[in-house]
Amino acid sequence: MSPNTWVIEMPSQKSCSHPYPRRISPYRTPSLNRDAFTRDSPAAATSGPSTRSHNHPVFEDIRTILSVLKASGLMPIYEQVSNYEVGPPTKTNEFYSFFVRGVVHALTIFNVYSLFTPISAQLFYSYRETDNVNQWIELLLCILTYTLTVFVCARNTKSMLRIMNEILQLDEEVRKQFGANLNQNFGFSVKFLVGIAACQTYIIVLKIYAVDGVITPPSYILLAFYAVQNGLTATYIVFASALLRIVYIRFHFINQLLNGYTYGQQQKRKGGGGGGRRHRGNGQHHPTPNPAIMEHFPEDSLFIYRMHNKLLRIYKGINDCCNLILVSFLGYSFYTVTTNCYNLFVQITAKGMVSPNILQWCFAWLCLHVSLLALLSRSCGLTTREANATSQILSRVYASSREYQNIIDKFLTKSIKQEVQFTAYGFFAIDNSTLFKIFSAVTTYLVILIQFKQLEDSKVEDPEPDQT
Amino acid sequence: MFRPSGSGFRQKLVGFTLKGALYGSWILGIFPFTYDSWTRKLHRSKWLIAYGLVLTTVLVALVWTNDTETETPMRMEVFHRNPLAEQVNGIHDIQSLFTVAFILLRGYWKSGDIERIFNELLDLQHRHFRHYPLEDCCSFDRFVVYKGVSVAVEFISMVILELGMSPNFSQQLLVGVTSLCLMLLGVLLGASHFHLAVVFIYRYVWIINRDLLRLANELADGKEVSSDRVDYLLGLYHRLLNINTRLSDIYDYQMVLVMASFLIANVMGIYFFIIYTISLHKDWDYMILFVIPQAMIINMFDFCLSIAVCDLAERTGRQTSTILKLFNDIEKLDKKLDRSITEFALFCSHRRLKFRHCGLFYVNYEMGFRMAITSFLYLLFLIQFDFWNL
Repeated sequence: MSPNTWVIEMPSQKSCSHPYPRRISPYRTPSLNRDAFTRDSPAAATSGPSTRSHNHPVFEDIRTILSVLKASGLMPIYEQVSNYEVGPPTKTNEFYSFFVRGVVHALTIFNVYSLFTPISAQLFYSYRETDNVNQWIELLLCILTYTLTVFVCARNTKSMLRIMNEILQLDEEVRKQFGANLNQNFGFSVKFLVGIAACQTYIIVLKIYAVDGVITPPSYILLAFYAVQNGLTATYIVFASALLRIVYIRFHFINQLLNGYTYGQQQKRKGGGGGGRRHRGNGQHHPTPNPAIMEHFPEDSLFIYRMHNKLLRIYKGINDCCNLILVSFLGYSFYTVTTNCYNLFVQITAKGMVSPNILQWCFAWLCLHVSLLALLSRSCGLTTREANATSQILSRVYASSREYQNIIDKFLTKSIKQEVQFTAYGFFAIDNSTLFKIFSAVTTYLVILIQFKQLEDSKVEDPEPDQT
Repeated sequence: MFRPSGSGFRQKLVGFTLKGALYGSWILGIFPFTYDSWTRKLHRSKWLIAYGLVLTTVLVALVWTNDTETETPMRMEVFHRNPLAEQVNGIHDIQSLFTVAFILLRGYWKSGDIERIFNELLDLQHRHFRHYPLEDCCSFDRFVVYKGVSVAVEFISMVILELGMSPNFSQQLLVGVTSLCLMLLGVLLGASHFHLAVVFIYRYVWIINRDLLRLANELADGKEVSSDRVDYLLGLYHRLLNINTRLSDIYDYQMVLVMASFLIANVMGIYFFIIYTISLHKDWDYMILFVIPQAMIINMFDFCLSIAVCDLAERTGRQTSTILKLFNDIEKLDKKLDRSITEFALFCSHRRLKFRHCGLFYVNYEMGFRMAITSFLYLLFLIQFDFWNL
């Protein structure tokens, strides 16, 4: 049960999701399924017969990250049915993902075992007891997060495919209606992948250099798997951000379309670019072929409303898929940032025993996690803002006649106090403010930890008062 | 699809849980109503109120006179080591006693309102929702069963905790523990009345949502939909929201107290646990491994459940607005129908299905998360205050 589910538990979905034959739309596009709330809509509408063969793979923008996730069993290795549809994976591929997940769980059990037995003791070499405990907890949290990720991904295979299909279907409609191709360069995902890999390698090398004595094979396995787990969890976060970015582009597109109808834009067109206030509407794809006229507005607005509903549904779907993973990742990330800040503080304030190794280690972790947090909260914030901006833009639409006013009001009345949010299991909203909240929490806990340290020190220095 | 056999069992389980809650409440004297099956109405009974008052007084007196738990060696050890724990424990004891008394007295005091609300719910069920198929609402069944299980498990865990902490059994101890646990059961059942009422409201809202969705589907398929149906649903929705507001007004103090006592119990439990294991350097025996953790886990489960129910209802209320958005892109909408839907949308955006206790906070996951974080912070502060003793 996920908290943000849009799904209303419809009775016997199979029979209810298509109770009636599909409407034949009077205008250009075939109608979408309106059962936006039923649990499993059919994999993809068979409308829109794509006669062309698969000349380009779907989701090409994020294929690097997708291939990493597919190889690690986190994403299903789907089959491409057509340009705008993906199908479920073949038996062999499904078995491969299953096998990889099994190996991961086996390794996890082995690691937990070695964490709880003295096998891995040599990895915890620090000067003080608390540091070791912290690192130990960090490892355990990482294992937990990754295991949860694998479980959730395995459970959400179908809904992930459904989301992808919905995105593709939406793209197809946009292409049919406006001839626009909504692809964009997702260079950031590749950069992040490289960064994550480099960071993890660096951390492992640091760790290996820091351990004195010969490292036993179990410790090597533990370390390597730890790095892989960290890397894959981080990759998944990047993937979620990329998905959100995809949704953002779609939202942005319909907002641009609407923006073309706003008063300012109309004025500008009449006056030959006199306004110059809003440049967003004049993006690469020009919204309407004949800019000065509102005659397409009723038709376009219906399309836009439907797109908006679909996009919101996709947005919620992504949220439902990533809910638990995000919560555990944010918790893990918070813990890591806090302990590393604390370690840095201890290193800097300790007199005379600054170890460059630990400093580098802390900086590497901080960089990795802070950049991931920033990426995640930025993507969520952008998408949320764009989703909420639609009604703002719509309220500026220049509606000269009564008919248009009705169309606009129809949307606006239903959007009053209906802000969408990307939440972490309903616990808190993830947007730009999350970053701020996390850092204020880190500060609070840092202060508490430092206070504890001072108490501990004073306890060691003073003789114990009369205690039994 | 392959539900028939399973659903029968589930339905039976739900029915059994509801009946169990009803009879349990009657026996413990916290449900002072009699049901008249002819008029389908609940009536307040003075005799049941008197019975409840007498029973509770007897139980409190029994607990008071047979109070043996303070002498258990484990507690004495902890308290000797850590005087702060004793003080906090004292506060918690007083708070619990106050909670018990308050829940019962307020329940009797407001019984007239409660009667009206329950009668209205019965009326809604009989007049309007009887014709809808109800067996598909899985969350309803799940939450009812969870609640039943949680009350039962909480009772058992309390018995285990009390008996497990005292090494020597005596008749006095058994009497004291039994009456204490019965008192606790009364409180839990009293809280579960609110919980069950919320689940019922949730189910009705869910049915309204389903009907709205069906209307949207019909419209999309080009069928005619009369605006009366939307108006009818709006009327039902309005009544449900009214009931909800009144219900949370009646139960707000009780729920706040129960939540507070759960939170304090959890913080205290973990604190005791830390003192016992770390500062007293005890060996890991069955006490540490089983008795204390199970009590804490069950407490947390119950706390989460009480929040999850309210969150579920709130989410379902939000879904209504989202479903209404689906009416946006229907081209030729009848003027009258359009107006009805707009009215519904405006109503939804201005009045939400939300649970606000005493005007202090809304009950949902966000608040639950904050509460959990705050209790963790309090735990840290407690440990810091008493660091010298650790």
